Amino acid sequence: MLQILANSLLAASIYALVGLGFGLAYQVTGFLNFAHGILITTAAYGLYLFRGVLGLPWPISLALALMCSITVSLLLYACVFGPLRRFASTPLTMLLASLGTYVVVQNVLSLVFGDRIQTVQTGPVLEGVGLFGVRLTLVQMLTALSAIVCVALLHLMLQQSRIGRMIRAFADNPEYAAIVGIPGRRVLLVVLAVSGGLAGVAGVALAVDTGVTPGMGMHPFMIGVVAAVLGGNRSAWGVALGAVLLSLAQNYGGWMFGSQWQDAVAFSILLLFLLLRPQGFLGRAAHKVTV
Amino acid sequence: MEYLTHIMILAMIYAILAISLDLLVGRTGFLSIAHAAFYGLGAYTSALLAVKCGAGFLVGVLAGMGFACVVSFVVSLPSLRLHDDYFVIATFGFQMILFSIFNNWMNLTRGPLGIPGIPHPAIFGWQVNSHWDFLLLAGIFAAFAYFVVHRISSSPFGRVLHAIREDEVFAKALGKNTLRFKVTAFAVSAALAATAGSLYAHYISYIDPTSFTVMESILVISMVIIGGADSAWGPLIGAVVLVALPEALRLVGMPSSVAANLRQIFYGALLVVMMMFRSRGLVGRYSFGR
Repeated sequence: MLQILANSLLAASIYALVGLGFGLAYQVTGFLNFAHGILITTAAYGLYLFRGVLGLPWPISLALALMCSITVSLLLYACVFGPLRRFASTPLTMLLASLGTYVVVQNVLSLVFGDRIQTVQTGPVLEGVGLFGVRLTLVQMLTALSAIVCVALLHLMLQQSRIGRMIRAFADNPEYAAIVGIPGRRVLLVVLAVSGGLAGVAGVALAVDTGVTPGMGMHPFMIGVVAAVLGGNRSAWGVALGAVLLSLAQNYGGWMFGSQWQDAVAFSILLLFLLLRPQGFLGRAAHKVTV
Repeated sequence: MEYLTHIMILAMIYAILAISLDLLVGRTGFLSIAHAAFYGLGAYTSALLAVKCGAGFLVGVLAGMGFACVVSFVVSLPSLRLHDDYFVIATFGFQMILFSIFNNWMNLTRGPLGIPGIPHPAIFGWQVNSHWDFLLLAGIFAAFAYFVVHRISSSPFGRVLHAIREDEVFAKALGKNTLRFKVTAFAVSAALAATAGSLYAHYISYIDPTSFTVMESILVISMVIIGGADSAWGPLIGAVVLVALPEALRLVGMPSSVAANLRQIFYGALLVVMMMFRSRGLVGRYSFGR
């Protein structure tokens, strides 16, 4: 039982990282960005390239991998979504374009690196450390730790810092924020970089833990979106809580019905939530709907 | 020649999918990522009926349509109350659940092993064996889908769907029960997608879950958007272009593994470019942007 709990928390840390980055970007850019999923894959391939192929030391490879996803996050906005926005687009056109972007980048990665699963971890497989009858590898512990640090930092940044207040103001009402002189471009830049970085952390963790494939980003991205929906749109801890509850349900559901049903459990919870409480656990009522 | 008819049959099957999705996306304004799920539902229903119970083709088609209709209510009643992004996420969730069922319910669907040995269709003594026969059959079904969607959208019912797309609150203010209209449109769209699934299953004679993934849903969406939503010929053109293109790449002599990637890169990029410069598609009337 404890092992299931530990596994849930581990999975939750990945979902929380993805969900947080997605949720933050969603509030500021205002469209459902499927290309967020590819940022995870990009960081994973970055790590594979710098560590697995070029053999750079770990800290440098990790930093470069994160730079990859941050750069791609900014580049995609600069080349695709930014210009698109100037064409008086709606959230739906942006969403469709992001689907297209996701498909393009995934296939470019697949052309360059091949469809085969690549591993970053070289050398002997380390045995997990036993703790209270729970086995965890070093990588898994580091993942959980970095997720907690990221959530805490993001929370602090959003609630305490000047730029955090700007981001929240901008997310609330971009026009009003612009009127009182909040620099929209800078807010956007920071948010894109932060969300790319968070996806990158998830990506490198997944890369070390399970390996790298071109399609690896879609699944954690979708579960991350579910976590963001469950957590509501107002707080970093809400998303983290959503991620934890989601992965607990997934793992216990998997334990009861068989692990292949984890996804079915997660998305059933999503449908239930959308039906009963679309604003999430901690969220306030959703934005006024304009049809 | 057989190769060419094969491509044309596939184009017809995808045309059914694109035309039926257009009823929802182009005419009612709701983007669903669950179309491959209903496609798969039709395929699995008629395949299982044919293999396990020896049911005929038409029985399988009708059962698939009915089943898809019923299941569509389960999705649409809760999720059509939602708007825009939430609806997209909800249909995505449903797509994942159904894929998971296709892939994991070993006793029924045999999971990744798939269902082999689905017989060729026989309709009232017409044994559909040759490619030409099959092309005729697929053409009839595509014409049926075309007819249904166009009858609906040129009827008063269809005008309400258009009204919902343009301004749902206004449609409500006119006393229309918009939820009922949306749910019906979704059910019709799902049932038509299921007929495409039945055709596919009986044509290829083998199905497995990989034909009904999210990527397949996105492909069908791209067909609608690139061809042009809310138009007579847009979805059909989109389907033909996106089916024929990878084959053209193969004829040029591209290895098929690279061609598969290039095909996806092409339609992904086309989707982005269309959104930027021509969001109503090649011949469409409804532009998502303005």
